[in-house]
Amino acid sequence: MTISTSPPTRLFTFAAPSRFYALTGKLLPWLWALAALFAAAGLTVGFGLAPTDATQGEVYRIIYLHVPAAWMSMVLYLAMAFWAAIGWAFNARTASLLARAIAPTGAMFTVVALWTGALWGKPTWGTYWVWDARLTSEFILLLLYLGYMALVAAIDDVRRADQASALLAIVGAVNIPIIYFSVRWWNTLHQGASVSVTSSPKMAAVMLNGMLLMSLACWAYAFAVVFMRTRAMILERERDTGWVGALMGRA
Amino acid sequence: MTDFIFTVPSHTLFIVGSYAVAAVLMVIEVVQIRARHRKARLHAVRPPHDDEN
Repeated sequence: MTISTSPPTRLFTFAAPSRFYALTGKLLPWLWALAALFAAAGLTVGFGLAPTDATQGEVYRIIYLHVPAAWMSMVLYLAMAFWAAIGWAFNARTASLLARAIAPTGAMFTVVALWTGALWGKPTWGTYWVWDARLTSEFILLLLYLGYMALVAAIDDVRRADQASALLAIVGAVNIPIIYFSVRWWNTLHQGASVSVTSSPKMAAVMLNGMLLMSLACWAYAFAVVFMRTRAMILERERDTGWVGALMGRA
Repeated sequence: MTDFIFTVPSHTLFIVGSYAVAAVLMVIEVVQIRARHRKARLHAVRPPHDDEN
């Protein structure tokens, strides 16, 4: 097998499991370093430099975890649905593996968003939970992640499992705009968006910087664990192939 | 720098509870994936059906 080095680089060649495994192996140390760096910077800004909130006091500092986790829960779902659709449409093995690898991490971020939201809600709203539109739609997102993982695990045939779970992921993607716009469409206890692409932020710059740094840390973490999980899945599926044999020094 | 000793004890608990649970979940996730990868590597070095040959 030869790798063409002539420009332009054919990106789709990285979809080959052997090349994906090699490339992500090189990226992982950098992703972990970035995650640690951004997390350290974000926590320093959030807990060391950002002032106490005038109305909420110190408890608002949950925002540096809650908002990035909530963003990641939605973005990862869209990524999962995208790769599941690509895997289904083009019968691309690595794309389907990526979708499978994203699901547990997306579910984890959803749990973190719900958990931190509950702990933030008690001192500010007086309750851990209300069935308002934002909280309920985020909870449905967790059910969609769990449903996707259960469906994948329930079907032994890999191709059929990828197809059925892709359908669920794609249909479930309709929930993402519902989560995002829920605070506009309905009268919710949850506050409106503090950060929007169409308007200036409604929070102090130092607080916003802390939140964005923590978001970058979550991005780097998510890329790292998704790549790690995909690499493990590739080894599981391809262990009898020649390239894995060569990689492991098998005769 | 802000004072790290928060004036409302319950607020400290809520903050610590939020970050601690997230950290534990992330550590569990990474440990679980590393174990899975290690097992996959072992099977790749010596596939289970080698014993039958």
